[in-house]
Amino acid sequence: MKRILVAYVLIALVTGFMFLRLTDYSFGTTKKNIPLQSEIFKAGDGYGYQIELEDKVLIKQEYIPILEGKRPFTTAQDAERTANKVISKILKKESPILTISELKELQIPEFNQY
Amino acid sequence: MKYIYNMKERVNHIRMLTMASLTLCLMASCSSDDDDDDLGNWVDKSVFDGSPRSGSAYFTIGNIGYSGVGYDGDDYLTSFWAYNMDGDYWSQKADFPGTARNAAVGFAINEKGYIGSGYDGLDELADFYSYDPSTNTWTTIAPFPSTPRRSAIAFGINGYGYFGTGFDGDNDRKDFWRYDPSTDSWSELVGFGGDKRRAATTFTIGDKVYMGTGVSNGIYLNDFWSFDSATESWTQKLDLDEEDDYSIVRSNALGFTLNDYGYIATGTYGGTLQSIWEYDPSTDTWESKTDFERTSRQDAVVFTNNVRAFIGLGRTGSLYLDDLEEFFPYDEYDDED
Repeated sequence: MKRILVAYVLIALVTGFMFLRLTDYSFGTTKKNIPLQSEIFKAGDGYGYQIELEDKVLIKQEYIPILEGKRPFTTAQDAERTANKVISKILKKESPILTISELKELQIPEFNQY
Repeated sequence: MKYIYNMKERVNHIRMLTMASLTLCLMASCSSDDDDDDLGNWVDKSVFDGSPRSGSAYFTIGNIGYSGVGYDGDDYLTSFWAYNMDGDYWSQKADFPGTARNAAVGFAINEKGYIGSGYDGLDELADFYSYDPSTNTWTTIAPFPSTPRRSAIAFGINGYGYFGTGFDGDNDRKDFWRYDPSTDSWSELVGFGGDKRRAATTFTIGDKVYMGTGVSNGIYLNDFWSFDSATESWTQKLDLDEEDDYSIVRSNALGFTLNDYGYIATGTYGGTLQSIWEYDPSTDTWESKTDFERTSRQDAVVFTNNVRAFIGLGRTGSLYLDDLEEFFPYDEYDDED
């Protein structure tokens, strides 16, 4: 009886351990929890953003992409909406290229004329 | 008893797995410690970088690499990116103002970059544009006055741009032209004795530009040339298959310079290649370096300022790659980084 009890405890430990490993593993592979984040910073008389993976900067945008010249975003909100769009594209495994139509959709005022 | 049996089986299973993985580890470490390995190491630089595309045009100004246009498998592109070598990050810059294209050339003259020629999916192109990094603006320059073409080569040296060879839609070309930014004009150069070709490559060491590889009518070319920028004359060097153990001949390769040695890397010869060869201009000889770590590729880009070199963005068949690696030619190969 004692032996069976010990066996039970051992099995519980082993399966518990394996279960933990398994869930850990599946979290890592299915959820693709890439720790991407954006940071908005003051740039000239406006705002820029950077996309970071943990502590590493992947993209730094001091100026509005696509547009000629060095024009920062007018508001921090514009910069943040654009940064979030880039993150969502990377998470969807899409290219992080922003297009004119996407920036229009994000209601970045500089793209109203397009 | 049944449970105990199961448990034992499990323990056995774990023990076997442990043994197997230990064996694998030992085998792996044995193979990577091989003393006969070529020198040269690759370090993975970015998780993401720019965009997966091929046939992009590229040039380097100072510590910034610029890469734009290209083909992503669905669309020809106009987006244009800058890679900061020191900060190891990318920025999307002002869009290329011409039609979306691939197989264009890129080169830098002094502090400005140039992109032109190429293929838009229908036609070969002859228009050229200059990019000013200080203002992030593009300017239309004089179009190439001869046959529009793609897969040409171009380089900037001594205050001029040079452009030649390529495929015009019907034939491969062997003509070379000079672009003078001070007069915004093109003039033809004579004296290149090599054959017509497309998808060749160049690298610059000091005041000389070295040119070779490429393909024409399915034949890979083995001749190798140096261009003296002071006299604008070509000199033929030893062939790329001079020694029996050379396997440098290819097309769609990258050419770059690091610490005054030249390199020809990746590209295609039948299939895509991972190999990289180092050229010593003082002896006119080649040495094999550690293969490119990732999937083999053609139509990649390279950013180099003679002090550092980064390679990325190519394709293998229909798979487009979006990673970038820094090449350290004198480090021992380390597969852990």
